[in-house]
Amino acid sequence: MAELTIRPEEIRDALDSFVASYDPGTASREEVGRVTEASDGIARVEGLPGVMSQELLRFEDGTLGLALNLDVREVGVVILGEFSGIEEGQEVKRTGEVLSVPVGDAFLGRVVDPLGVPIDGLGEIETTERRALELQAPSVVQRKSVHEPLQTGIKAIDSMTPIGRGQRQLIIGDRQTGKTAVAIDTIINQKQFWESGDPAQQVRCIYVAIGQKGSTIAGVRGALEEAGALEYTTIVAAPASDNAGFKYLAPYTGSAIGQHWMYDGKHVLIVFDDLSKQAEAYRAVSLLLRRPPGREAYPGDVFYLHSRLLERCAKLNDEMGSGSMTGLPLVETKANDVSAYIPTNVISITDGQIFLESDLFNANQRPAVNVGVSVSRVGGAAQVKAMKTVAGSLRVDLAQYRALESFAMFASDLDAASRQQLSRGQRLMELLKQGQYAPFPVEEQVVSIWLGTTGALDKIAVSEVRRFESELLDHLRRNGKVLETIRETGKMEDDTAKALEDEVNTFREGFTSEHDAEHGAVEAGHEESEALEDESVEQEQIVRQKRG
Amino acid sequence: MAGQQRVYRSRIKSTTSMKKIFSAMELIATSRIAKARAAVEASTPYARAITRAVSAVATFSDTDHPLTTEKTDVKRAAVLMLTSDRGMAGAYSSNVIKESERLAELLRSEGKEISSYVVGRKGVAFLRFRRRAIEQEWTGFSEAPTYDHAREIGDVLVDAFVKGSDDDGVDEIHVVYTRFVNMVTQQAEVIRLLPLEVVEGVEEPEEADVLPLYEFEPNAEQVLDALLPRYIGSRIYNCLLQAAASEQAARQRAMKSASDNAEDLIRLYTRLANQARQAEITQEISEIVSGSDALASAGVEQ
Repeated sequence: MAELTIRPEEIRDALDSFVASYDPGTASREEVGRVTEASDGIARVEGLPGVMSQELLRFEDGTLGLALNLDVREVGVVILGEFSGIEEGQEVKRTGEVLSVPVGDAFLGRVVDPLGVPIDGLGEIETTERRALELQAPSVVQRKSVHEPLQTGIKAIDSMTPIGRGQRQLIIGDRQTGKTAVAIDTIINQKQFWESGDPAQQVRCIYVAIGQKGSTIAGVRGALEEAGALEYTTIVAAPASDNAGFKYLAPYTGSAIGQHWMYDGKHVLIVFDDLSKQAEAYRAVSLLLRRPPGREAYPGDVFYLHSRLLERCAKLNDEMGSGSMTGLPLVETKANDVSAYIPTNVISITDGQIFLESDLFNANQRPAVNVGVSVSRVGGAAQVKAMKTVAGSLRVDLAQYRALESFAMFASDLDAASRQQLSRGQRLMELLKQGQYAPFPVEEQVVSIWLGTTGALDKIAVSEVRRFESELLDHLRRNGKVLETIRETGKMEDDTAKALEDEVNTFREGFTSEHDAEHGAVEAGHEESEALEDESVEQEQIVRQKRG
Repeated sequence: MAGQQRVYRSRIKSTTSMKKIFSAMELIATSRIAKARAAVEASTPYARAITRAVSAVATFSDTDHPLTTEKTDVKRAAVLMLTSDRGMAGAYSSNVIKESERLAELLRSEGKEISSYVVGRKGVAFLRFRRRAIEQEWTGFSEAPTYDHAREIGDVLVDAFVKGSDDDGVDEIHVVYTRFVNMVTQQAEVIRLLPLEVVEGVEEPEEADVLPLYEFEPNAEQVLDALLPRYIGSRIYNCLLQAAASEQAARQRAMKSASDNAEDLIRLYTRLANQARQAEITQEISEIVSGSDALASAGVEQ
């Protein structure tokens, strides 16, 4: 038998070195849970005691999930992706990260999904920072009042319901009334500011598409690209084919991307198209998670869903960098019913609303803004001085016109003052019509509204008003300095007004009208009638008595 | 949902008040038909007497009178249209207007110009809207005409006829009015009032109706001169009375059908309002039940 040559000191040394080199940090720890139930985009997972609320979890096939319901023994998880590969009994790992998305300037011009993954096929997005989705909105002391205008380029909006940088303005209307068109026109209008290169003027835009048709999102992207607006726009897309979890998250992703720029001192415009679909997705998720339904089956915190999203749109004070994020949420109503649950909620959150009515749309008044009911709670503080000067009487004139409108068919029987109001109102309504993808810079809007409110159009036929306006603006772009003065100073002084009046008079002489401007002349009916038979005409007779 | 209910309820309210108005107008029109027919009855003795007188002069003398002479070259014809002052009478005025338009077509095809005389605001509005010249208009008495109105119209028309078309007058006068046949039937008719036609009677007169052998002082022409304008006035008065009775009958029919339609609308909207109310209640109940069910099952799972 060989002798054991291991001495006790060697064993001791070996144990010592092992204990000394033991580094618990290198050992990795994973919490692993197990799926107990999986259906309809929701999975119930047990065995994850340390999971945080809104934490990202990874399933066996790589799909991500969001932990929303933290119950005593199990966690309710919304699956962010295809749920067909998730089976009962599969393993679920924690990622340790509360939901966050990458942010940065690299997102400009790209189309991404709600987790920040690009879906436009133009390669990876290189970013260094990430931002959590559930950060609180700026506090009261961090804010400043809204005082800079956000020009939408739409006459009806910029004159009477102006939007400021940092404001939330709701665009509400039935389906097919032009809500998305208003938002896209606003984005396209920021091109002039982007080209100036001045960071205080530039506005970065984010378009969040929630539950929209894929073809619609492609159409929007195409329109922005054609107008040259895509270079400063990010599109966050959660199309209708996506799962409810993505649709619920998409606005928060857009908001996080925007907030990053806002805290960096830049101006941001974010469009949520539309919030009704996000509320419906949230309702679907909540009902599947067995949260108690409230009014219209929406969960009890659907107000909080929208209020925390929209509160993140703000104007920061100078210490925080003077950045701003303007929010344009879109809400779809059914049959113009603004007293439904979601519309009333969002109306109470936002700083004003723009009503688009289907009646006006069908009557060819596009954009179909109902100026009587639309309001902006920021108002004049967000208008350039020139616009404030000319648009002052516009609202009143239109209100008087609407009051008289139903009498328009008796135009020939009214007194001269009413007839004048009617004709002025008709021309103003005609002026407010605008084509799609054709935003007006602010100086042209000022001239246009000046034409209407000072009565320069009273002699022009209503059907010729838009042609007159476009040709006059063309003339002004080539002659004189009126447009430049208004653009640079932002004011409409008396001498500018005088110069403008002279130019208009010069132009009017050269303007050939195609037909006479007859107001109120109704063509009388020219009915055809058949001639009476000769026999049908009776004859009055004196009868002589027969004399015998 | 509550919005819908409110809409239906306000419609029911407004339709009910309109129905009250229509029913009241129907009753008023019914009572006025009776009065109009009584007026026709009251005017009959005078009408009969003057017809007899004119017939007597025509029977016992062979004089020609401008008012009974057919003109050889008729260049302009006058059309007197009897329409209503107020609306809500169904197709009353438009029937008269249609008939007068057809008469105008006939006259134009015969190469005659047309001079328009109108009674009633509806006719005046029709012509004025189409910018046609109105020779003279009379308004304000279409529902209750008096003999003075008829006499005034008659004088104007006779003057125009006597002047002749060369002198800015007319060569013929037609009247378009609505004849009251009976309570159910009122017919728009055209009658050529001037020149009057003198015809021989066909049947033998009865014993009581035989005219005595009159002598005329100073002569038959002067008697005719005095009588004929009055005769025309009486004819026009008869037309006005018939038109008034027809107008009331048309208004009664129109208001009756309006109140029936209002009744139907009220019934429809009441049903819709009930449906909306029930739908709202059902929705509230299902929201509460599902809410409590969710809480209960959540408690059980715990």
